[in-house]
Amino acid sequence: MRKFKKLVGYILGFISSVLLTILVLLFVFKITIFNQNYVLQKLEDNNYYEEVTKSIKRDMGNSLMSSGLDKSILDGIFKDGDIKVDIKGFIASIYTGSKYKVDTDSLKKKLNSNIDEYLKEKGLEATDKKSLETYVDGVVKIYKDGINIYGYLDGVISSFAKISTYTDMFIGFIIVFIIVCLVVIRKWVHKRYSGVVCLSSSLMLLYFRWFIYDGIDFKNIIIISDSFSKVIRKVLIDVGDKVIIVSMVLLIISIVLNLNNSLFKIKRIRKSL
Amino acid sequence: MRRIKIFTVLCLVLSVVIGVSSVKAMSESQLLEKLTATYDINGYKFQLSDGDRVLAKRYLDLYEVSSAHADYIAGEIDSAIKDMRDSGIKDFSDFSKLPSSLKEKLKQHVLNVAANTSIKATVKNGKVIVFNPDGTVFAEIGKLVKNTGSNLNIIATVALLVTAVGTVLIVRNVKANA
Amino acid sequence: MHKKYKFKGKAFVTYVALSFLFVCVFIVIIYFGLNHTIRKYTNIINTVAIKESKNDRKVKFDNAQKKMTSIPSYGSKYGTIKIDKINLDLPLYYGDNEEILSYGIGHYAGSYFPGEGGSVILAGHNDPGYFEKILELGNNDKIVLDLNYGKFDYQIYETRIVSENDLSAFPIQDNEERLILYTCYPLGVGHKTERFVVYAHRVGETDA
Repeated sequence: MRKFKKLVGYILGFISSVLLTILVLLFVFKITIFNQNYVLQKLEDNNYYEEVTKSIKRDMGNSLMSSGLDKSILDGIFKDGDIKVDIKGFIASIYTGSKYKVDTDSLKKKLNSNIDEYLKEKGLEATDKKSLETYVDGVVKIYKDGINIYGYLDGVISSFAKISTYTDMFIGFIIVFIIVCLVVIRKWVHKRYSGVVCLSSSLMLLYFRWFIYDGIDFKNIIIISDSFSKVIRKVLIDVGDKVIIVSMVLLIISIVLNLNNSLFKIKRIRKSL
Repeated sequence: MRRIKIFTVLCLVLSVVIGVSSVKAMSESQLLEKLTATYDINGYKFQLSDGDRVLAKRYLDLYEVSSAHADYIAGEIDSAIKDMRDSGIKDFSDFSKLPSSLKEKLKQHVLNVAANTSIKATVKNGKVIVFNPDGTVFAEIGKLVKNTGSNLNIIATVALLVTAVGTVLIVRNVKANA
Repeated sequence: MHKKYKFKGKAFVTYVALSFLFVCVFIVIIYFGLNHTIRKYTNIINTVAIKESKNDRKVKFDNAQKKMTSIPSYGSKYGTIKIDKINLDLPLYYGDNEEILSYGIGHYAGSYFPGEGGSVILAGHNDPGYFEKILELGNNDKIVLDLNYGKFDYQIYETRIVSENDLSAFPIQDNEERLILYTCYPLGVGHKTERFVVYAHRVGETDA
C-alpha cells in the first residue's frame, strides 16, 4: 500500500510539473498575445501604423497610373491618424469577438469631390461615370485591405476572443489541480515536494522552448506584409524570452525551496543537540 | 554457402524494395501531368490556368522536386479532389463562397504539403509569393480569392498557400465546362 | 534519533534527481509522442520563414534546348524594350504587379521568355513615358527586346482592342514565338474596361 501511494505520489508529482509548465506557458500567452495592450504597444514600438500608412499611400499612388488622373486627387482624402484609429478599432474587435466596420464614406466623398474638381479644372470628362465609380471603389478597397489584413487568418482570428476566455478557465483549473496534487503528495509521499515540482517545471520549460524555437527560423518569417511580419517576429521572440525569464525565476525558487527542505533537517539536528 | 544464401536473400529483398519504390515513386514529369490535368468535379471542369501551367512547368524544370515530395504532393492533390467531389458542390468559381468545412479541408491539404516539402512560399500583400531556393522571388501568383483584378489575374477559385507552384488547387482562369 | 538526520545532504540530491527524472520522462514523451505533430507545425511555419534576397540573379539561356536555365528574380530588370517608330526605350522587368508597372514595362510571369518559342506577354500603363504611344503602332512596325541574354526582333502583324476580361486575346502557347504587348484602353479618365493589344512575330536570330 505504501509503495502504491508513493508511486501515485510520483505520478502526481510528474503531472504537477507538467501542469505547472503549461500554466506558465498559458500565463505568458495571457500577458502577451492575448493581451490587447501588449499587442498595441508592439505595433507602436515597431512603427506599424506608419508602415501601413506608407503602404496604403504607395498603393493608392500606383492606382493612379492608367487612370488619367493626377496625384492631387488623393490629397486630404484621409488623415494619417485615421489609419491608426481604424487599426486600433480592428484589433479591439478581434479581442472582443465583434466585427469592426472600416468607415470609408468620408474618404469616398472627399475622393469624388477631388476628382470632380480636377476634371473641372482641366476641362476633362470621364470616359463614363461607371469607370470613375470603379476607380473610386478600387481606391477605397486599397484603404480597407490595408487595415483589414487578417482576412487570410479568418479561422484563427474569429476564435481569438473565445481562446482568450478559455485560457482564463484553463489557468484557474490548472492552479486548482496543482494544489490538489500537492496536497495528496504531501499526505502520501513527502511533506515538501514543491521544490521538485518547480525545478522540473523550469527545466521542462527550458527544454520545450529550445525544442520549439530551435526548429523555427523566426527571424525570417514573412507573412501578409513586411510590417506585419516585423511585428510577428518581435512578438514571437519576446514570448520566447519571457518563457526563459519565468523558467529562470522558477529555477531560483526551486533551488531555494529544495535547500530549505534540506536545511530544515539540519536545524532540527542543531535544536536536538 | 551460408554467406551466399544470406547475400542472395539480401539482393532479393533490396530488389523488391527498389522495385516497389520505383513503382511508387513519382517523377517530376508525372507530377507536372497531374498538376496540369483537367479534373471533372461534379460536372465542373477544373484546371490550372495556362499561365500557371507555364509557371508550374518552369519551377519543376528549374528545381528538383524529389520523388518522395512529388508522391506526397500528388497524394494531397488526390485527397483534395476527393474532398471537393464528396462535398457535392457544383460551382467552385468563388472560393469565398464555399462552405467553411470544405475551405478548411482544402487549406489543410496545402498546409500538409507545406509541412512535408521544402518549397518556400508565403502570402504577402494579397498575393501568393513563391521563392527560389536562393531567397529571391520566383513568382507572384495573382490576386487571391475575393479580388477580381484586371488584366490576366482573374478570379482565384481556390486560394491556398502555394508550396508547389502549380499546386493544382489554385485556378485563376476558370474554363467553365470547356 | 541521530540516524534520522544522517542523510541531510542526500535529500537535496534526491530532490534534484527526482526532478531530472521527471524532465527525462517529459523529454521522452515530447520526443516520441509529440515530435511528429510539433515538427509538422514548425515545418508549416518554416514554409513562410524565408531569408529573402533582393540580389540580382544571373540569367542563363540554353540555346540548344531553347529554354531558360536560370531566370531573373521577380521584380528585377532584365532588359529593355525599344520601338523606334514611337521613340520608345523602356526598362523591362520580370513580373507585372502594380509596383513593377510603375517602374517600367512588366513581363507576365505566366508567359514564356523571349527565345523559348512561346507567347511572351508584356504589360505597360497607358501613361506618357510608358505604353501611351503603342496606340500609334501598326502592322510591320518593329519591336526589339534587348535582354541580358540576347537580342530579339519582332514585327507587328496585328493590333486589336479587346475587353479586359477577354482571355482568349492573350493565348499562352508554345508552338510559335509571339510577342504580345498590351495597355489599358481608351486613354482618358477612370477605370479602363478595354485593352489595346499588339501582336508581333519573331524575326531574326538570337544574338547571345
